[in-house]
Amino acid sequence: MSDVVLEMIGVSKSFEKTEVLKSIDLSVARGRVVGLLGKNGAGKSTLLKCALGLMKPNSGTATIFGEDAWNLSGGAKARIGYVPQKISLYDWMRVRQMIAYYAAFYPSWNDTLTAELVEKWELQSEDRVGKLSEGQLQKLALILALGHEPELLILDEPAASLDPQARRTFLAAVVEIASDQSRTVILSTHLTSDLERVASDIVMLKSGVIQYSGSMDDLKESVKSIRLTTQGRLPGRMDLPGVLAYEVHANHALLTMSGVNEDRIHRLEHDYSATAEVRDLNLEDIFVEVHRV
Amino acid sequence: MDGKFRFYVYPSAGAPIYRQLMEQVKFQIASGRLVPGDVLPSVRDTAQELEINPMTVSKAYSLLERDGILARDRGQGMRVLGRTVKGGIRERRDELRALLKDVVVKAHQLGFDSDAVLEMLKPLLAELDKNSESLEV
Amino acid sequence: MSKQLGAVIQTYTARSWFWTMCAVSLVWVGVFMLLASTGMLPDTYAAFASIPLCISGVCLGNHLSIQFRSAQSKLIPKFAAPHLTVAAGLCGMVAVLLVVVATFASHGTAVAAQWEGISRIGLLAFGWSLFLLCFSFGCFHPWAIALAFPSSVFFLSFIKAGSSIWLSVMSSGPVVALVLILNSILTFVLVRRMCRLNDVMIESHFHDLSEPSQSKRRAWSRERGRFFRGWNQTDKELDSIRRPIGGDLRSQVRHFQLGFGLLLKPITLVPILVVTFWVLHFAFLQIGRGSSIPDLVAIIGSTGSLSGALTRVRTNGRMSFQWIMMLPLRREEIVFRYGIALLIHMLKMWFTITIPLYIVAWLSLAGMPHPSPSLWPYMDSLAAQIPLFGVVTLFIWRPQVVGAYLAGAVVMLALMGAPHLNELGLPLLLPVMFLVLGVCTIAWSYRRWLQTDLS
Repeated sequence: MSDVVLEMIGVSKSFEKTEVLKSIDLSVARGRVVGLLGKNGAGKSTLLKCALGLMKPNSGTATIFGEDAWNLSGGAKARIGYVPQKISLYDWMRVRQMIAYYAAFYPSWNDTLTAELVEKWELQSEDRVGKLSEGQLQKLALILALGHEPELLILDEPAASLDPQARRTFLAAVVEIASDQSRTVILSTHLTSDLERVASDIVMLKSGVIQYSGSMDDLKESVKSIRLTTQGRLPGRMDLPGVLAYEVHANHALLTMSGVNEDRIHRLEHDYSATAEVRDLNLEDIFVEVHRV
Repeated sequence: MDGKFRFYVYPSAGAPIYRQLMEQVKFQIASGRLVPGDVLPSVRDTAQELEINPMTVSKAYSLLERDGILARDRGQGMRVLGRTVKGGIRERRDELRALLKDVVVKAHQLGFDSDAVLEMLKPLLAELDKNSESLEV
Repeated sequence: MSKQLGAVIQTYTARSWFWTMCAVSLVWVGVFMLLASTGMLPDTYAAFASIPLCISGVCLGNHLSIQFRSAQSKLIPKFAAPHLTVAAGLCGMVAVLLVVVATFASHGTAVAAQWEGISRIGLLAFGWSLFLLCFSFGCFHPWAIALAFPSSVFFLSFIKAGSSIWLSVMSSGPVVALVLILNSILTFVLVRRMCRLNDVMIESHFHDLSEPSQSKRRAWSRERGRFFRGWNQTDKELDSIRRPIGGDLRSQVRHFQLGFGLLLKPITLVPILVVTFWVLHFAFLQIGRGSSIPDLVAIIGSTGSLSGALTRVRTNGRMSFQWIMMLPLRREEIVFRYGIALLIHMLKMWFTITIPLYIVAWLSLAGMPHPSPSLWPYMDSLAAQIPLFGVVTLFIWRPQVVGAYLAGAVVMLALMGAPHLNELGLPLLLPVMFLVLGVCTIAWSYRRWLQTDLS
């Protein structure tokens, strides 16, 4: 069995005249927890919908489990769990009935798991779906997406309307899913704090273009803030390759740089006859810097 | 050593979580709170307790294993190994020099002269000697 | 003040229904001018005027309720005055339009005699009541827009049936005075209640949050649930879902049908409707309008199933198709099964309406030489379900349902004209037309369902 669960090659998508996705290449391997990070309107939802075959790309191909996403077979869909950004279920059904109704479509369903989650997340199984609050609805949708124990779980802004405590329990549930190493999780968010604990990979999307795609550790290790101090004068412009942002004052400069390693620091120190001080950046700093350009 | 060994992580810090875990194990060994033969909590337990991705924990463990600090015990998880010295004297000296250079630069910025820095290093070195003696006993 | 008014007016011009309404009223005026070129009878005028009154009332009510329900209505200083001024201005425009049209209608020499005894103020008073009714409906009922069309059609048929009595009532001085007073009070109460919409919302919200009453309410609702379970068909069926559903078409379609959630089984509705239609029929006979059954078949048969299907599917919004499409079936399988389920749902509603009508028609003919009523209206109406289904499936995607209702209106008018075609010896023309149209719309809609993005 191939190790690539989801793949997108050159996917572009426009709505009327605005191009929302610009030639996206993405490949997600089995067992990864991928955080899709971008500002509101960066095209996160559209990317996920194209990947799932809910939207037809204008060009390029999207595949899931090796099948064309637009023509997914029933068998492949039974291995996917999806929570859309805006959830609307059948308002007149009770929570318990909604789960039973949904479960009936799937060849296998883990009743113990769903009952446990209903209990843990304090949903009343006799309540009507229409009476649930946004947060409760999101929990119910997540339970529905987990009941058939999918191999690929796709969550579009899943924690958006959860309170801090529910956010933690929700993320803990994602950790639990992730601990089964054959499962793949993709979650989109605009909050870096959602991803810091759980994501193994980060895909940063900025106005329809992938800015970074790779492991979170590599990202944190390669993007650094460098402070150069020198006795002489620094040039006014420092847009070297890999520099995301810079600020130059008379004899010191602050650079945010990707692809940082020992060699490059030595070269910087040598080129400007300066001393370099390297500082780690967290995900939020990196996100802000990437969006400043 | 009393009680269980616990990790702490700061997810929103700049250093990757796996590095934080590695540093903690190394620090605890250096400070004598972890001794050879101690068993670290399992990948699954650690991940669930810290609410982090299990892959991060196993990455930290296998890197520590590669460095010869931990060993994989069948059925028991990760065990702490005794202190071993790895790599040639040149490489080790280079590594230490890089660290000391940071200290010197910082000391200069904070306005200490070389005597003051040496004075401050002495008690720290003495403490290290005492700890490693107690380990060898 | 003028700046505020401009901002308020923008809230109208930004909504697409506003421009649809403007276009529709222009068309309406045009059609009216054409029909009334030689004058128009007062009852025809009243029926004609009731449609824009109803629809504008509901739309305005809905718009104002959105504005006053928001927290901004509390926070923005002097919120009510500009909003109410603009709303009053719009009401005034509608009133002026109707008055102008009335003067135009009563000018023809052929109809001047009929208009003689009609009190204009009486017409205005009753128009005002109708507007208030629709306005409060639009203001406090979330599905009002979907129901505006059927209610105005109902009013139209009502006026048409007993025009002479109604017109004489409208012209009697004391009645008009009473209606005017009642209208004023009602308007005042309505506006006051609307201005406090936000308070009411907040109060009920806090009420929900208080712990003991909530648990009490929950217990009560559980009790009530247990009591109604016997009646509520969907609950019963949902509780006995067999898992997993079979791989055969029949059980899958049945499962999708469960998603439409009918409260009562159609068969239990039939006796209730028989009684209702009988009363209506009897009332019409008393007024002397003759049998109204064929008209009812045409009107309710086309609009009932249409609005029933639309409200059922749209209460759960367009977004629900996202998770429906991710169910473990191929896209075309889902579309096919969902479509069949919806068609069955529409036909069920249609039979629920027409079977009682047929029974009433049959009962009224008891003891006559030709004891079975004509089946032609039913055949035509049944054939009309095919294009209606195509239109419904096309419009489920769209945020505005106006198009579906326009199509429903066209179908209804065609059905009302069907008896004339029968007289001309072309009874099959209409069903064949519906069939062709239906096949085209369904094919178009199926293609769209397979090709369209789900956003």
